[in-house]
Amino acid sequence: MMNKPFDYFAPKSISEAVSLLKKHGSGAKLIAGGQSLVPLMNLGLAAPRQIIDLTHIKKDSLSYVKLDKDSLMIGSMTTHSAVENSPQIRRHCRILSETAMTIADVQVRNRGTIGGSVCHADPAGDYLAPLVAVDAEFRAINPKRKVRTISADKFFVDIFTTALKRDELLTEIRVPKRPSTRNGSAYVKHKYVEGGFAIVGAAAVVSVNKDGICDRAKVVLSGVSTRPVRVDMIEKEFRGENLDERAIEEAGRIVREAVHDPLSDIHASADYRREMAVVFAKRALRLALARSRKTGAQHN
Amino acid sequence: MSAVQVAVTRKQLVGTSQKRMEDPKFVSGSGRYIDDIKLPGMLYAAFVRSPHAHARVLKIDASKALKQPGVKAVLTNDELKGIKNMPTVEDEPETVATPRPVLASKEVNYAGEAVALLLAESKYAAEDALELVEVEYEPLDPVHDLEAAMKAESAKVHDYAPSNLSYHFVYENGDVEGAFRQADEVVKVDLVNQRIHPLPLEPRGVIASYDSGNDLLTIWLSTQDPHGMRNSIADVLNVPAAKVRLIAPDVGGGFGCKGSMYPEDVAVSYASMHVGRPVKWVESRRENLLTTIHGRGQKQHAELAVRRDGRILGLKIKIVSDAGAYTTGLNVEIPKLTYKMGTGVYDIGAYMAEIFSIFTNEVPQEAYRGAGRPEAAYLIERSMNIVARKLRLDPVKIRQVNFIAKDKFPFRTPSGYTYDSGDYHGNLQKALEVSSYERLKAEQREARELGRLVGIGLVTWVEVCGFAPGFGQTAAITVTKTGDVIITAGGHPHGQGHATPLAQIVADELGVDLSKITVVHGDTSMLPWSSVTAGSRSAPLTGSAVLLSARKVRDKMSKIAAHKLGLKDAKLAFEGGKIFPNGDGGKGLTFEKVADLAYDGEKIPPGMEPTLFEYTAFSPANYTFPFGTHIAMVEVEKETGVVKILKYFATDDCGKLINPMVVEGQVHGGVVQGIGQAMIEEIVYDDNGQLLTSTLADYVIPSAESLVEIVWNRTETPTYANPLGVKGIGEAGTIAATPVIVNAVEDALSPYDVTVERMPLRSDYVRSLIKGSG
Ligand SMILES: Cc1cc2nc3c(=O)[nH]c(=O)nc-3n(C[C@H](O)[C@H](O)[C@H](O)COP(=O)(O)OP(=O)(O)OC[C@H]3O[C@@H](n4cnc5c(N)ncnc54)[C@H](O)[C@@H]3O)c2cc1C
Repeated sequence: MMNKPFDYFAPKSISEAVSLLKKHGSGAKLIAGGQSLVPLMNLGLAAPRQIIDLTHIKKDSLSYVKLDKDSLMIGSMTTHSAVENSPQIRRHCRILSETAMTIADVQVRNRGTIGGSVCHADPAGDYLAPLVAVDAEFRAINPKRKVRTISADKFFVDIFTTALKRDELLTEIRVPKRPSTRNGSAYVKHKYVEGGFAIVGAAAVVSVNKDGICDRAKVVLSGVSTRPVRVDMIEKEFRGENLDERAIEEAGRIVREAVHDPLSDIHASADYRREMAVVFAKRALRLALARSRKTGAQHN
Repeated sequence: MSAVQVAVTRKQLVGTSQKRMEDPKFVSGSGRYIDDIKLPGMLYAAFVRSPHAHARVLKIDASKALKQPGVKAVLTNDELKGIKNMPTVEDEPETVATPRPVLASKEVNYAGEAVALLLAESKYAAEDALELVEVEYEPLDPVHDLEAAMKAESAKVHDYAPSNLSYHFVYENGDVEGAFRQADEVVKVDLVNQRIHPLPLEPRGVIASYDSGNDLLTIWLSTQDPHGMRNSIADVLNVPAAKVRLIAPDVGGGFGCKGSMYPEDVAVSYASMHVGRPVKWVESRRENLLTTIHGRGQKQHAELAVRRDGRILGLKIKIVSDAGAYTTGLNVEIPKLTYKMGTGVYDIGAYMAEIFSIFTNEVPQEAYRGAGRPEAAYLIERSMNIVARKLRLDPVKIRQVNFIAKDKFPFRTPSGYTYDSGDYHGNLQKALEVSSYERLKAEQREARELGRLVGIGLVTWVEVCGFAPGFGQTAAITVTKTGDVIITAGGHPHGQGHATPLAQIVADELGVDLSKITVVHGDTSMLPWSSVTAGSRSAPLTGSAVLLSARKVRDKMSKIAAHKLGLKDAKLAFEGGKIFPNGDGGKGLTFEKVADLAYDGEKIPPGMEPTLFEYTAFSPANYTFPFGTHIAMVEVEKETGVVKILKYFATDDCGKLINPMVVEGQVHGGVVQGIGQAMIEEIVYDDNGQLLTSTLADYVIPSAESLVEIVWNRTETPTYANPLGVKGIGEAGTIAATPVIVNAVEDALSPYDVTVERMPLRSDYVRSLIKGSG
């Protein structure tokens, strides 16, 4: 099967891109790295009538990593490789670099973008869990140049479905900065094959006070459900707790309860996914905790 | 014969590792595959394929497609005038023949089966117009599950056949009943050898170009068997083979699946004759997974009559083989090979086998690297481990107790083969040494004490290759007037690296440098005949045909040189590009000089024909039976069921070696494919016969990241079956690696006392075994 014929546009600016989106309506599709859209088109699962290519927009208007007082700002066209290797991201949101590293292979990472990945909203997309875990915000712009901010939690609606409107373009992902001490995070991924998608991806974010007592502990899972599974219970349960092995076992039990209706495919059954959600949630928590306790080190 | 004798005195290249001559071209992207070939005026074909696994074809309407710009023609089977059906079995009363038109005309029997060919000016135009060909289908019940297909109430794939049984054979050798009566115990084993895909990197492809002036059809085909395909395509097209020339350019992998003729090959050839223009078709990856043959696909059962000391007195096996939608020649033969190699390296006197071959609405199954022998090795080698565990014997011990002893070769097996040569004890001993087996066991004990699930797997494999007495291989050698050497080799490489070992053989015989030698192959106009590259035939058969041709050339050149030098009774040496009497310190004549003389009828001995061209069709004295021992160490992560391979040792015996580096490369590639079957590969159809693994995201294969170092060693037990003493090594890895990994995992899981019945060893499945719900 081959692609259906389509018109191709290469806008030079963001506003030109969103005007095109508006003009062509539901048949139009933005293309970033093409690493999800093109496979879908080749399989006949997507047949856009207009393709609007974002790669000709002036580079630093969508592909960048910036810092201000409170946040880390990542342009939507930043590639997985850039996320993996950016010193600012490594310093201020290590979990995202760690996540980028686990995606596919070098070729895909050199083309695929963080924005494309989240807009595609594949339940097994690796960024989904960590972005929810670090309370990221998504900024979108519409043809009227109106900017809307959506929390990661609200952004991922369902399988391949986000809160973006049809004429909106994702411009930026913002992650709140956190002190580099006594914060730890980790992303651990259970792949079905090297370079493959996640059966389960678990993101954990932990903060401890100076006595090692937990202020905050959160686990979010990719791959197990139609949208990221955010395990809120952990946040409630563990605030003020000393996170020892017993508490981590308890976290596992909470995760098991939180996973409803896990996905099932030829690589992993629903039961196995639920079980692995527990295993990898605990691994992520342990790792995040260990990192949070390495005081002074930049391990968040 | 003349009194002139020759002797090779210099250092031999045969037996040494030489870098492959063809690699610079492949690694620099200068190979020339089907899709690299473009002919003037070429049209592009695309195929309308059935979306149903099983359906009646009621109507095909191409009128809309034909109105599309660039579309030249749409051909259905009705328009393929005067051609025959695809081959099936003939005159085999025990087997159901399945008449199969080139393009499905009345019924489709698997999802993806071609029903029409569309021709257009560009590939895009062809693909775009495909969906405008309207085909009306009446869906029928698909047959999918092997067990269900065997039941009387099952839907049938072919309504003209009495059932879904393609054939049923029973073989019995020796006193099977007696053996089972004497047994201390009978061990029963049930295994599934799953359907997998050969998956060459280059998919299938064909270009046909008909020259009406000369009434000559030239076909470029990505194939393992140029002459065989020339003959088959000519036969189905009903044209004389003399009017068809077939050329195989570089072939990017075959692994068995390019040893057969496919409907597309015939349809594209017909189309070119029909429109009088060249026509090209290259398979997409999706078509490749959907329509290129699959392999393995057997349900296996074994019963072993065992004595308490581990001696196997008798073996009964039952194989239920998934034929797929049609009876092809090969899907009849391959399960029989499983039967024939079923007793492996063991001296088992009483042997019974029952084979059922079952039709399903899936792609026909044929040869995948090893073709029948990996399935045999899997069944017997898994069974030996299961018996060893039952009897609390070490896997080494049970093998030693049952091996065919060294002094029993040539050894006649109960299934009728004569194993040429073997030293199974010696090879196993070497494998134990190079793997430090005792140390591995100590490491395993330590790991177990720490609660880790570490396992060791062992397999002692044997296979049959070098097919076959009466079915040989050809080669010719030309020495040009300028003294260049051309080897025209039968068969056709699809990655193996034929050129270098063949050149090594000739370099030794003729005393010339490798750089003087050119190897060509893959064009039916070059040789009167050649046969398929498969079954590890090329070293034993093509190699021998090359050797014998080289000897003929040397003999003739000796006589010419002796004539020129005025010698009557001399031993001539061929060395360093010179031909000279032994002991004259290399004076004599240059190789070029003698070549030049050979083309002048007045300068050669009276009665001799001028020119230097020698041809040999070599038919071996016997099959060859290479063997070996593979040992793997794995670790299973208890919490997740993830299997990690820690160590891998392959110790193989393929007789004499021509080029150890090429041999080792063959083992590496084979082991990786074998690990693929054990760990991750599986063709999955749903209950409606729809292929779920139709992309490489779902049909996953091993990559470098998931592998370990393969430590390769060898023993050398020559064969008498050919003058080189070589046995063939193309399939060893795929045969040994699959059971060795599964044996190792089963050993790792021994605290849970489970049997691994299925593959691949997805973490999900392994975890279910640990939990006891598998
Ligand atoms: C072989 C392979 C393996 C892979 N393995 C993994 C893996 O292990 N883990 C993983 O997470 N991913 C994996 N991926 C997917 C990969 O990460 C993709 O890069 C990513 O999902 C999409 O990013 P993209 O830039 O390529 O987006 P595209 O494919 O260009 O677009 C994807 C979707 O997002 C929309 N879109 C893109 N940019 C914007 C924007 N700025 N605003 C609004 N909508 C937008 C497009 O319209 C489209 O619908 C794999 C892909 C391949 C090909």
